[in-house]
Amino acid sequence: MSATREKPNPYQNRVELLQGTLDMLILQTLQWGSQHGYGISQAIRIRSGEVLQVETGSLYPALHRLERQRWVRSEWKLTESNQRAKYYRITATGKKQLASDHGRWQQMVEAIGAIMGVEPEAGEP
Amino acid sequence: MNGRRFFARRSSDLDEEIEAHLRMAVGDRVERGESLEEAEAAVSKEFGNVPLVKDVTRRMWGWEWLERAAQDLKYAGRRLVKSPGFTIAAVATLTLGIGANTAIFQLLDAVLLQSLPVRNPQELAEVRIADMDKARGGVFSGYPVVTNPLWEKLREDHQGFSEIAAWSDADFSRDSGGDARFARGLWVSGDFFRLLGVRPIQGRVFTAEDDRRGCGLPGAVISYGFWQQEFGGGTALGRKLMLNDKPVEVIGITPANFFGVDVGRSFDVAVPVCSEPMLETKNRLDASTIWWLSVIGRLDPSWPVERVGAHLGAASPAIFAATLRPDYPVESVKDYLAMKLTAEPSAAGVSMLRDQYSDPLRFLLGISGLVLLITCANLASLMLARTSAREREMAVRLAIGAGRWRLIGQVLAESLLLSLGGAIAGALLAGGLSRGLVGYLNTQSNSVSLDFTLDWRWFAFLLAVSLVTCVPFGLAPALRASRTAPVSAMKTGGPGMTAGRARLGFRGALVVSQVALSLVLLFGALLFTESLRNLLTDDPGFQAKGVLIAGLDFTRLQIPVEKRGVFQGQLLDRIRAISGVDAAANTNIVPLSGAGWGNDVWVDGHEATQRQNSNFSSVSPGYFETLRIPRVAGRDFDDQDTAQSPRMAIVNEAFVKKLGLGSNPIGMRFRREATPSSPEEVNEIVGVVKDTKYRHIRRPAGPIAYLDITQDKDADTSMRVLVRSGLPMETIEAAIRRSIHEVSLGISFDFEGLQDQIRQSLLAERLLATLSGFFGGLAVVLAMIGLYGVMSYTVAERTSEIGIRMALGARRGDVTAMILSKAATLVAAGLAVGVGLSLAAGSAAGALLFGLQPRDPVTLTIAVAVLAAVALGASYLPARRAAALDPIASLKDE
Repeated sequence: MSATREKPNPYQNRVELLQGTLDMLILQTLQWGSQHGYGISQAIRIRSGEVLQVETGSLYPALHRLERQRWVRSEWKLTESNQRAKYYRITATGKKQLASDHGRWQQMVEAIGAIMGVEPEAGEP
Repeated sequence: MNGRRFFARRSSDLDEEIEAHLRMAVGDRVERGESLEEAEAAVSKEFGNVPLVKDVTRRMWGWEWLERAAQDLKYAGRRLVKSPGFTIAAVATLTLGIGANTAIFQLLDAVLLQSLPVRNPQELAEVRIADMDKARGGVFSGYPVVTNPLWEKLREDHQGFSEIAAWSDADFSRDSGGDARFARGLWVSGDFFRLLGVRPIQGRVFTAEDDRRGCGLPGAVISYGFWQQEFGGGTALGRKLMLNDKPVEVIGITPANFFGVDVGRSFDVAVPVCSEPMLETKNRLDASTIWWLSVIGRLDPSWPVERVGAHLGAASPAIFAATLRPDYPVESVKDYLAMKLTAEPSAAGVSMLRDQYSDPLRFLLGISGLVLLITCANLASLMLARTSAREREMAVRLAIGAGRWRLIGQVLAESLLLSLGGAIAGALLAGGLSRGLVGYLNTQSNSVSLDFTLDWRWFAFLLAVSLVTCVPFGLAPALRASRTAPVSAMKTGGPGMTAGRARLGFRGALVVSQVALSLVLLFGALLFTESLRNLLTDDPGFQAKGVLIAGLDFTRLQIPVEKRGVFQGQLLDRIRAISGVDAAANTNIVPLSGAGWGNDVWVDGHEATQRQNSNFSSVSPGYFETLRIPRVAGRDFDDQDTAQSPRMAIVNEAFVKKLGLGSNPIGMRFRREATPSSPEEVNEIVGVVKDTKYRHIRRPAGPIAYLDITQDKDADTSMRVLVRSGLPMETIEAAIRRSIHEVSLGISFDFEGLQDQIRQSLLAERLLATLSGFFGGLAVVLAMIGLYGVMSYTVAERTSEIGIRMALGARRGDVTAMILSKAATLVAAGLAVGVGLSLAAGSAAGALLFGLQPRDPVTLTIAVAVLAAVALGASYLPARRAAALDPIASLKDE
């Protein structure tokens, strides 16, 4: 599962999300309070400095999957502009999941960084 | 909650969620200063394919398979509705195949397979006499029976059985004169109900205390059915029932599922064996020549039935020695003492129905099994034709990315719908057919009650049959179609020139087997029909048409035995005096009724060398005139012959021949052996008549000696009068009713046509002939549908080929001949196989046939000719359609 679909990408500055990271990003976003699908995608876009653009074709399946796994819960609420929207809220198990995802992600970043951070000349006398 | 509604609600939820998303996105852009149109276009582009997003999201719900299955079923249903011809043909084929099979199976199950509805029926065993032909006296049951002294001895010592009980059938009179009404009764020993584990739903059942000699009338236990019918399910305990004019108190009611131990005959009233002397005119309890009680026992767990049988055999000499009573004929005592008892398993109870119908029913099950095979073949070729036609469509769908399993799933859904439809319709048909069959077996003199509640075995059978028929044949073509490379299927799948020969080969094989099987069924149907016709038209030597049997019972009038003969004569005279009655006579044995009486006879002085067995019948003067039996020599009985004068006899030609009496037997004397009721006696022959059949129409005419009924010393309190009249039966019945009423209101009567009685004795034969005829016709129709289908398919497939041939100068006649010869090849192959099978099947049916050989060549030829003619007729239509093709149009099609 990837955050971008396989069709031609209209945005040049888009970065493909790593496998499994979308779930983590959604859960992380919901840490700050319940949010609807559009809000989540906007939040990720803004917080990533316009780098990460979440495709709706990935976002909604991910939300519904997270809900089925009971990591998030949903309810219909009114937005600030008085529109009906489905809000997602992270659950206790979702928080646990986020913590473990976060930990694994940290390990991954360190591991990759350890490899990528090494300069080619550094090993030579 | 309804799953479908839940699904729909979630779907609309998702729609709304995405709509909200789009609205908010557009709103944001408009806020940033874009125009509404620009914003909508941008959002739409950003969002992508909305239905696809919804679809992908829905998949996350995890019940996509369910949705797909529902879609497949809906799609299959829609397609079936779109091709009503195929659907109707397939469902009708299945309905008939499944319905017929299930009906027969159900009947077979009820008659042959079901255990008694009692506690642990597998522990039950019956006691029987291994060599019953040695027994002398009267046998009052179709089942293995013993005398009451023997039963009492067995009750005393029943090693190997933990419990033992006896029972017997009886008809108790329920009327007080006039039209006879009976309750189906059971004599039961005290332990009968306890042994079977039958608990009363009200009151109590008998115990050993109830069944003691001299018990009088301790009461009656009635069945659930009788309780409903007689008391409307209301208060019955303590009420009195009149049985044979005696008041008997109802003390208990048995549960609804308990019918007794005789499958096919339910009981109304059970009374203890010890009540017999009170209810009947003759005391049977001390008679060692009256065989009437069936003995059933529950096996001791440590005793297998073989061991019990062996033990009874070893104990037999002592048992028989202890039960011999002075009434036993002296010269037969040796045989009596040598008789042997044995034991046999009896979990399924006993059944007259079973003895009579098990062979025809098994045969019918075989026949309906063949019909099922034909059904399967038909369905297979229907499904095959359908999927072949859709192969191109499937190839296209595969090419544009449809999943293989999805395609197979759709074909499976179609098969499933068809088989479910067939199974449901078949179950309905089977219900009707079974009821019809029981109605068919149910006659005035022999009422049949069978338990047809739906049980799991039956349902499993039904379901298995429908699935086995449908799924594989739906699946096989689907698998093949999905394996075909899309490109090649698209190239050849159309109505092209290169018809798949191998594929037609399989369909051809189906047709060959269908033709072969229907020949077997047609041959069988013709054999059984012919056999029935032979039986019905068989000349029994007398004229049954126009003869009414009037049964009169004057037990109630308590006429002493020495005056009964005279009273019988008076009643007979009254009937003779009725206008419209041409002749009337009474007899103790109504011919072809199943009743019989046989004794050894010999010419005076030649006992050792010429002792022969002959049938007997006591008749009044006028008997031969009534039945129109021609007299060859001598005279009829007349009023001069009385109880005091020497015993006269009229014999038939077979009798004369068997005893070697020569050309002029009038005046000769023969001796009749002593019986339990009368000593050895001399009879003088006063007349000779033509041969007639005696007991059953299937048996050839044998020797019969007629004795004068007015000379009988122990006249009964009931009589059977044969009445010949040209008037309708109802008119004569009404006149007899009136006339007998004038004598006494206490006489009860019942009526039956002699010819009806003979027809009813051929019920099994008629059932077999009717049903095999029905199945034979069904098989032929199915085979013809199959053949027609295959030939139409061939023509459709070879359209372009035929077009080219015709364009090149082939005449229409040539085309017709080409198609017909193809059909003829298939039919000929089928007939060849069918003849072989028919000859084998015929031999198996041999014992059920009458008046013709099981391999009757004429019948077989007729069957072959009929089938060949019908088959060619069925293929003529497609052939003509082929010949009528317009060559240009058929080539343009390509």
